[in-house]
Amino acid sequence: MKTNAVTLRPTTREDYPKVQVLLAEVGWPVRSQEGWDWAFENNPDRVALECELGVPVASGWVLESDEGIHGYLGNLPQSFSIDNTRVVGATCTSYLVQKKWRAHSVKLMRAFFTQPGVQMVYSTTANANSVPLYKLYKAETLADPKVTQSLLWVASDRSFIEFALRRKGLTAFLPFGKLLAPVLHSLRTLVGYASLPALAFGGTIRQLQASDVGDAFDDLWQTVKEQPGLWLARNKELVQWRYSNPDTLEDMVLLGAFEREILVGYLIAKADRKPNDKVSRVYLLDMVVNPNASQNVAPCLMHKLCGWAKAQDLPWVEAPRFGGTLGEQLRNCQPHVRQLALTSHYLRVFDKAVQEKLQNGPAWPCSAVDGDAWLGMTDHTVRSNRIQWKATTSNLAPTHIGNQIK
Amino acid sequence: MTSQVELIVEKFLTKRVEELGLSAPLTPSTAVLDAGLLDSLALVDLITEIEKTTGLEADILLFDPSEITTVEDLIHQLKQVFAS
Repeated sequence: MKTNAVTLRPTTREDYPKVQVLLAEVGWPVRSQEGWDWAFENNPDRVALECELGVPVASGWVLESDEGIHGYLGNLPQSFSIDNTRVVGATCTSYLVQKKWRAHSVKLMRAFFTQPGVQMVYSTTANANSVPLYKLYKAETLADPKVTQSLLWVASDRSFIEFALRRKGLTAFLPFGKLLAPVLHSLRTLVGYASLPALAFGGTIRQLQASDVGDAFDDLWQTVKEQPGLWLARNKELVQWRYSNPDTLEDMVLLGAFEREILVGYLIAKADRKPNDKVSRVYLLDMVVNPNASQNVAPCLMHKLCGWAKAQDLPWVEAPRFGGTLGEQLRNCQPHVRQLALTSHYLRVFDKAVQEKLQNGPAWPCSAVDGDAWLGMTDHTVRSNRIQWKATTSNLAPTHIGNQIK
Repeated sequence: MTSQVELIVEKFLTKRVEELGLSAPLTPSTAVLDAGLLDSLALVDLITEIEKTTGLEADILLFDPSEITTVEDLIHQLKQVFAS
C-alpha cells in the first residue's frame, strides 16, 4: 500500500482560497472567488468537453498533504479550429509548487498531459524551471524564437517620462514631464519609434460594451477560421465569456472596427496598473481582423488603443507578437521590440491528424499565442516571471509555469 | 535491458546521496520523493541518462509518479516506461 504523504487530486471550488494563498506566496495576482469561477468553473470549453465526455473535466489539480495545499496547476481546455475542424486543446496556468514539495511537481504535469479528451496540450509561458518538464513530456518548442518578443508603442510621452522619473525615484522632477514630452517625441521619431500613424481604412472604430458582442462576432469568426492555420475559437459565446472577467472588466476595453456597419475586426486590451508604478501599461489581450479587410484596420485599431491608453494616463501599449499578416501589419507600425527572455512556448499534439495538418501548414500561428493572452493572464505572466527570477536568485524558487491563455 | 535500467538508477541515486550528503544508505526501501532524493529536475536528468545509455526512448505518459514512494517503486515505474 502506498503511503505517499503528498497526494494529487483535481481542484475543487473550495480549494480556491487556499490556492490563492499559495500563489500569493510568490506575489501572483489575486482573484476573487467570482474570478476563479469565471476562469475555471465557467469556462465554456471545459463545460462543453465535460458534456461530450460524460465525465468531470478537471479545472486544475492540487498537491495536498495533511499540512495543506503545496502545489497547483490550473487547467484550461480551449477549442481551436484547423481547416474548419474543431480541435480541443488545453493550456496550463499558475503552475506552482512550494520548494519543499517540489519532488512531487511532476505529478501535476502528468495529470495535465494525460487528461482525457484533449488532442493537444500547450503552454505559452514555460520558463527555466518548467522547460525540463515539458521536454520530459515530449512537448516541442516553437521554432520561431521571436515569439518571446512583444511590441511596444509609447502612448503618452508625458506619462512615459513621469513613469521613468518615478521608477528612478526622481519625483521632484515630475513637473518637467510635460516640458520634456515633445523632446522625447522628437527623439523617438528620429530613432524610428514614432507613434502609430493615424491611418484611415474607410470605416470607423468604436468602443464596444460586453452587451455589443453579438452575431457580428460569429460572422467574423466564420471568416477567420477559414484561413490556414490553427485558430483559437472566437465565436460569440467565447468572446462574451472572455470579455467578462469580473476581476478585470473595469480595466478592459473592447474596440470594434466597422466597414459599412459590418464588423471587420476588434481588439480587447486591459489597463495594467501596478502599485508603485512598477508596471503601468495597456496590454493587448487579443486582436482579430477579417483577412479580406483593409490592411489599415489593425494599425487603426492600435492607434485608437493608444489614444485610450493616453486617456487612461498610461505610458505605453504593449502587444504580444502576432504571427501572419496581422503580425506584419503591426510590425510595420514602428513598434519598439521588447525581448521576454524567460518565456517560451511548448506544444504536444496527441492527435496524428492534427499533427500532420500542423506540419504541413503554418507551424504555430498567432492564434495559439493569443490563446494564452485571452484570459488576461499573459499580462500577469510578465510580472510573475520577474518575481520568479528574483525568487530563483534568492534560492526560493518554486517550480512554476507562469501563465497564460492563458 | 531492464537490469541496465536498474543499474543506471542505482548509480544515479548513489551519486545523489553523495551530492546531497545524506547519511542513510541507499536501499530498495529508501524513500525517493519525500526524502528529497529525487526532485522533478533530477528525475528529468535520470530519464535522460537512461535514454542516452540504452538508446531507448521513454514513453513518459506511462510513468506515474503517484505510484512512487521508494527506490523499488521508482525502478518498477521506469522499467515499465522503457519496456514499452
